[in-house]
This record gives sequence, C-alpha cells and structure tokens, in this order.
Amino acid sequence: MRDFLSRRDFLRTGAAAGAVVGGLTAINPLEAGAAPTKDVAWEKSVCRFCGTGCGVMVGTRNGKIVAVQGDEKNPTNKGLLCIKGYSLPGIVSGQDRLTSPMIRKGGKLVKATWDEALDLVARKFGETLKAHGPESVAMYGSGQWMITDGYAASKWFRAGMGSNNVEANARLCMASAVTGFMTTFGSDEPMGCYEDLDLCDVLVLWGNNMAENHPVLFSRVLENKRKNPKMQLIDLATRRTPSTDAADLYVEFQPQTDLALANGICHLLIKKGLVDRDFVEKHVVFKKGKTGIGYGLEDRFKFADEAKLSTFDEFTTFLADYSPDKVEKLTGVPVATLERLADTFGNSKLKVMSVWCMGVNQHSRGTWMNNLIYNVHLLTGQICKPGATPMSLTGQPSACGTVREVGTLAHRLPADMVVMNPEHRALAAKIWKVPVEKLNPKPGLNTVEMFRAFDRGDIKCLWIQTTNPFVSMPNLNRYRKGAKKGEGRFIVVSDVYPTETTQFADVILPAAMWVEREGMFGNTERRTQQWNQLATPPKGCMADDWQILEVARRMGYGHLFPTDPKTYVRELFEEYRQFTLGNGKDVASYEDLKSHRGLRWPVVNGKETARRYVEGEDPYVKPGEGIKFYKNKADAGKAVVWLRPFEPAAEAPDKDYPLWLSTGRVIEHWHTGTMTRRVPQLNRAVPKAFVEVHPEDAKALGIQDGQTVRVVSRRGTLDLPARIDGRCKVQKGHLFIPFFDESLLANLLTLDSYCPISAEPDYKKCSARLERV
Amino acid sequence: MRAALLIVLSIAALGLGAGPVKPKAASKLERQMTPYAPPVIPHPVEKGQACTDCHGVPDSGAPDLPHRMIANCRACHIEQQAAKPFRGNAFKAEKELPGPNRATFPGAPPTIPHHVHMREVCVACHGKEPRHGAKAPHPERAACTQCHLPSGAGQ
Ligand code: SF4
Repeated sequence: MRDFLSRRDFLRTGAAAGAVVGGLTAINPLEAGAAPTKDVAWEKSVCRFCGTGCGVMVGTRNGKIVAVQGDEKNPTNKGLLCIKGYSLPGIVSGQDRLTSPMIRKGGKLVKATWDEALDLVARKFGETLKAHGPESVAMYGSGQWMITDGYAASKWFRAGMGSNNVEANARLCMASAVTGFMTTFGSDEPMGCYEDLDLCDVLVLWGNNMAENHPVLFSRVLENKRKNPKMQLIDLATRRTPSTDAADLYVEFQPQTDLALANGICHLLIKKGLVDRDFVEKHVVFKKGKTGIGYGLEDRFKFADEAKLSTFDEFTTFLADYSPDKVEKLTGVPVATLERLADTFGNSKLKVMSVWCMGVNQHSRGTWMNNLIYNVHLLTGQICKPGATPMSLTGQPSACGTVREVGTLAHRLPADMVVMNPEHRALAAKIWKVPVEKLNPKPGLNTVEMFRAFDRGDIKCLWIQTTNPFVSMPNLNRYRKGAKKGEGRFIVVSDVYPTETTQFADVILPAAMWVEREGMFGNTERRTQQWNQLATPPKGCMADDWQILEVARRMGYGHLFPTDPKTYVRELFEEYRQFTLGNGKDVASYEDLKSHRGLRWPVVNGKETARRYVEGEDPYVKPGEGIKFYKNKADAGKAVVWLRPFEPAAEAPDKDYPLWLSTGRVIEHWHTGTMTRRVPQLNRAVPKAFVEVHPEDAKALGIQDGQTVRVVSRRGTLDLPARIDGRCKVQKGHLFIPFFDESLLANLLTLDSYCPISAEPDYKKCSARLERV
Repeated sequence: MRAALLIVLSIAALGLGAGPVKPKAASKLERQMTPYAPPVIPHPVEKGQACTDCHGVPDSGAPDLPHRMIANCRACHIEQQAAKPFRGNAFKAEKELPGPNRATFPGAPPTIPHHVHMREVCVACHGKEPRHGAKAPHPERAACTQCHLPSGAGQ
C-alpha cells in the first residue's frame, strides 16, 4: 500500500526533489537464514577475493560455514585454490563483526535500529538532493559489489535521483583497462580466456606479479610449462618477484618506460618485416590522439581526447623515435633483449600471450599502455587464437561482472553503454521505465575528483559500500582531512567490520557478506558465476543491495525496484540482463547460472563463448568473417592501433626525493586486509607492512634488515621496518611498500595523479627519500 | 619426527619482529584453517632455500609431498612468525567428518575416511613413517586405490 502511495507521490512531484516518504518498516530478507542441515552440506560458490574467480565448495551445517574446498568441477581452478581461498571460512567470523546500525550523535557513534538509520540516510540524501541538486550526492562502491548491488546503486542514482555520481573502487584498478579496450576494440573485456594460459608457447608478463596476485592462474602457467618444456615465461618488470623466480627471461626496465619498450618492440617488428601484413590489412585501422595530456593533479582536471585517423606509414615514421639504441637508453633494456622480444612476438610459429594488471593500469598513461600492448598483438596477429592473445587481468572478484558490465562508473550504463549517448539513454530509460529526460547526460565525477569534491564540500552526501577508501585512496592525507571536516558533510558506510573508513562515518550499516547472501560475481575471463545463500549472517546484518532498496523506497523510488524479499535478487538480475541481450554482452540466464559453474558471455541460446570475435566460437561473428571486432562499429569492425608516445611520469626522483616508490600487494593479504588480517594464519604470515630496500641503498644509509626506517614523500612520512632481499627484490634506487596495513598507510606517501583518459591513479610511481630514525 | 610437527614461530626468515620465540606445540588446527586447507610452514625458511631441496627428496627427513608437484608451493603454504592476533576470530575448525561408509561389508578393505583431493600420494602419510594416519600394513602394494575407495568424505 505504501509503495502505491509513494508512487503517486513520485508522479505528482516528478520526484525531481527526491521526496522522502519515511515511515516504512525495514524488512531483512536474510533474517530467515540459510536452509538448516544436520550434516555438512556442500554447495558451489566463488572465492571472495581476486578476479581469478576460483570456484569453491562451501561446507555448512545449520547455516554455519564449516569448511571450504577448491571446486574440482569449476573449470577456472579445477579444485585448486591459493591460501586466501582456503582461508575463506575465517573471513566471516571475526569477533568484531558489525551487527547493529550506528548513528553519530554528539560526535559519537551509537547503536540505532535499522529503521532509524535507513530513515536518516533517506532523509539526508533527499534533503541534499533538493537543496543542492544531483551533483551533491555520491555513491562509492566496489569491484567486490555483487552484480545486483551495483545494479541497484546505478539505477537508484541514475533513474531515481538523476545523478551520475555513482563510482566504484574499480576506478582505482581497472579503469585504464576499460578505456584501453574501448579505444582499441570498442568493447570492454578480454577476447581470450584462461584456457589460453594452458596453450600459449610464450607468456609475457607486463609489470605483473602473477605468482602473488593471481596465484591459481599462475599455477596453470606452471603446469603448461611442466607439460611443454619449451614454453617460455618472460617477465617484464621493475622489481623481482616470485613470478620472476619462474621466468626464463627477466627484463628489468625503468618505471614509466614501458611505453617506450612497447613502441620499441613495434619499431623492430616493422624493421624486421615481422608484421602480419594480411592481418593488419583486414582487421586494423591506425589512429592518433592528443599528446602532452597532463596528469590530473589539479582539482576539476578535464581532458577529452581527439582521435584522428592515421596510416601505417605515419605509424612507421612515429616509431622512428623508438630505435633500439634510444629505447635501451630510456628503459635500460639491452638492444639484444629488445630484438629477442620482437622476434618472439613476430614468430608466427609461436603462440604468444600477454598478461598484465596493476603495473599497466595504475599508470599515468594507463590507457596508452593498454593500447600499446594491443598494438604489439595486432601487428603480429597474436590475437583471437587459442594460446595467442592479450589478456588484461582483474584484481577484484567482480570488477568485471559488476563495475564494468553493470557500469557503475560515473559515465557508464550497462553493457558498454554511456550516459553521454542519447540512444543509450533511451534504451536505459525504456528498461528502467522512466522518462528519458530523467537520465542525466552529464557524466558524474570520477573517484579522485569525487573525493576532491567531497573535500571541497561540493559533494555533501557520500555512501561508501564494500570498500575502504581511507586506506586505499592515493594522497590519503588530503582525503582523510576532508572526511573529518564535518560542515554538513554526511558519510554513510556499509561494511562488515570496523575499518579506517567506518571511523569517519555518520551512519554505519552492517552488511551481510559472501555466502551469507545469494550473489553473483563476474571474473576476468567474462565468466558470470552465481551462488545461493549458504550461511546465516549474524543477526542484524543486511545485504548491500537490499540496503539500497530500503533507502530508495523511503525516498519515493520504490516503484523502480522489486519488493519481494524472496525473489528480488533474481528480479534485479533479470532486468539487468535485458541490457546485455543482442548486444554481444549477453550474460547467461538466471537458471543457467544456477545450474552451471559460471558461463562466459556472450551466452546465446545457453551456449557460452570461450573466445570473442572468432568465427565458430562467438555467435556474433558471421560465417566467412573469420575474425571480426564487430563491437567497434565506428571503424567497420576493425581494431585500432594507436600512435601513443612515451611521456614522463608525473613525479620522478630528484635531489630531494631521490628514490622511486611503488606500492602493491602480498599474496597473503587482500586489498586493505580487513578480511585476511582477521585470519590468524594469514596474519601471522605477514603481520605488518614493510618497505623493500635495495641492499646497496641500505648499506649507504647503514640500515639493517628489519630496522625501522623513515620514508618521506612530498605528501607524507611513514616509519616502518626495512626489508632487504626478501622474497621480492627492488632495483637500486627503488622502494616498495604493500598497502594492506591500516596502521602503516602506504598511501600517505603516494601521489594522486591519474591517467587523463581513464582517471585511474598511478600508485606505482612517485618519488621519496629514505631516512634513518 | 615429532619435531617437524611443532610450529617454530620464526622471525629470522622474514627479518621482522623482536627476537626468537620459544617453539610451541601447535595444534593441528593452528596449522590449518580447516582440514581442507594446506598446512602452514612449521619451520623457519632460510633465504635462498627451496622447498624442494628437502621435501620430496628421499631420506631427507622432511615430509613427502601428498600431492603432485605444483611448482609454486608458496601460493598455498605460508611462513609463520610471532605476531599478536590482528583481531579475534571465532572460527573453530572441526575435524574432518568421515564419509558415510567405512567399509562396504565386514572384512572388506576399509574405504578412505578423508577427502582425497590434493592427497593423491597415499604413502606420503601412510608410508614408513606415518604422519597423520595409520601406517599401511602392506605399503608394497603400491596401487592403494585399487582396493581402498574414497568414501565420499568431504563431498
Ligand atoms: S587465486 Fe584468487 S580467486 Fe583463486 S583462491 Fe586465490 S584469491 Fe581466491
């Protein structure tokens, strides 16, 4: 009944002001709990951690998780997990689980009922929207959002409030991959699949520590190596890692010069006649964009690329700057090694695969770097063949499935569509059943600009779900200070544990996580996977998507969302699926997802696609077409080779800050450690952060292994133990700090520069100095 | 050999922490999150030492590999050092539940009462120096699973 009233209310006011309904009583669909079982029942799910998306079997008894095993039936991992996956039972059982909503009163967070908390959130969002417009509210979600979480958030914002300020932390890890795919192929996400890792003759890691960050995929690579002793692993990197230990060739380059390295390879491919002329003729166009594009360091930074058609001849001339001698000087890679790399890619008898992740994406020229790797593969035709493909890896379990496919970035709609495009808005309005004028054509703010706007006070109401930005944002000092300013700023945080972010909250909403609710993730190889609710969450915890629905209903947007707590996940998913059908992005049906260990889109007539753009595999490629990059309609189904130059990093070592500083992960901890650090075995393995120092730099300062040292950048200072010659080894003049530790915040030091095209920050390069304490 | 089952909380290996800690008897559950999880490394790891310098080497005294060789050992088996818990965790691992049928009929060879995934090499545990299970009375009959069938434990 209330829903009907709210709809009438909505129609009357046009809901432009986001009328607050209030007075609803919160329902919690999870309260019923998981089905009781006397004995241990085993059911499929997916690992909560990395973008590999390993299948797990979860053993539960009476709604309690008893154990986890690798799922032997899941083709992703065939039963194997890494230590994080085996530790999954411990991530839900931390003794400090948040189980009651909290509201800040008189400066203190005090317990509240769900109704009080949800009413308050709805009222604040409604009032802010009315007083300051759609640009004053924002949602910051995550690549750990389940598909329905992201979909609910995006629809509430765009179709409800008319705001595009819906972002996700995948902006910090995958945005450059998205813009790379969109600019080269006109469609996001890889053409290849994990099976290519089993089949390639050469695997090239571009700044990628796969052994620690995608361990189960790395196991597949090692298995390939074992069966195929001629298989070569080539590690292009700035730092020696466990991945290097397994490599046949380690190619060390200077930070940022991977741009020159890739162009240098292309230079040699042309010079040596190793270009697959036939492939290039049929499938490639050449383009160039703007150069000298900046670093996104100033507030309200804006950039729009202008693509101009180019030619193979112009490309050849452009590459004159990347002769082997010049590239050797810039990168530190010897000419002979450059030749070997070109000969490898250009050898049509070898199946060559490239993989990369944060080294390429978190890069002030991240989009360019993605383009350049595609250049190498497109010139040589090492693409769309079993074992020969470029493959961008994802770091989070549903960065692909949720953020990229559902489109929870400020400019995106589901299925590769964007808010700026009137046709895309029209389609979205039709599926969402709202007037098209409701959809705002102006993109919202990207993550860095969103937090800058929050610091300035332009954004007043911010809801953060499933992520921990006050550990993971770069240049943290600024954004943490901004969050503390008060002055009418209002922060809502949904999470499962107290974190560095919840401490800044005005309202905390306790969330149900992982198998405590039904969910879906989409992994790196386009595989969408579903699981049922298997465990009962602690009393008081609510699913993130249902939290959004409850608030939306209270604001008068109830008519936009399903209301049945038993079926809403399915209903949300099936509505989302409509965007993808016929679009080349077709996700599998709900029934098929239930009965399969995931399916890789496009799924047409229940059949998944292993390799996109390939006749016989991808149903969108017509007979006789062979290979067709059909999503790039603007260039008649061809892919784009881009002329992208080397440009220096935003900040480089100098007299005062003579060292390069990079940040990243360790295998034992995931992201900001809020889950993995609560697992005793993982915590004991790496209890705190450290700074990796080269032995000679340590000697020059008289520093011993384990000794506390001070790292200073232009933005902050951090005292932490030095690690000299640990399992990873930095170059002389370099430092590395893992970012998982909330008490030793690597991001106090990092720089918030970003790639102007993708708006993804460069966490891998800034300058620092080392001091004794 | 019991010594190998003790957790030696090592700090030397990673160069962090504050001095050596007395070895302490570790319960099986401290070494593994659940019976399905890979055990942690219960000893210090010297710099430059490979796991396969000892493990899988006959008469090295180190436990044999119960599963086929997977080259990146350290993706699953992690070192431990002295550290205070980050936060409390209420998870209590249970012993593995035996499968439904221990033997098809009286006198038949017993079925395998535990899960077998990543434990394909029976003699690694049931051989000359039994580790967690019974010593095989006839290890010379190398094809164990001809007679001893998985019981479905953990399935
Ligand atoms: S590789 Fe990734 S998905 Fe697989 S178990 Fe490890 S963390 Fe989980």
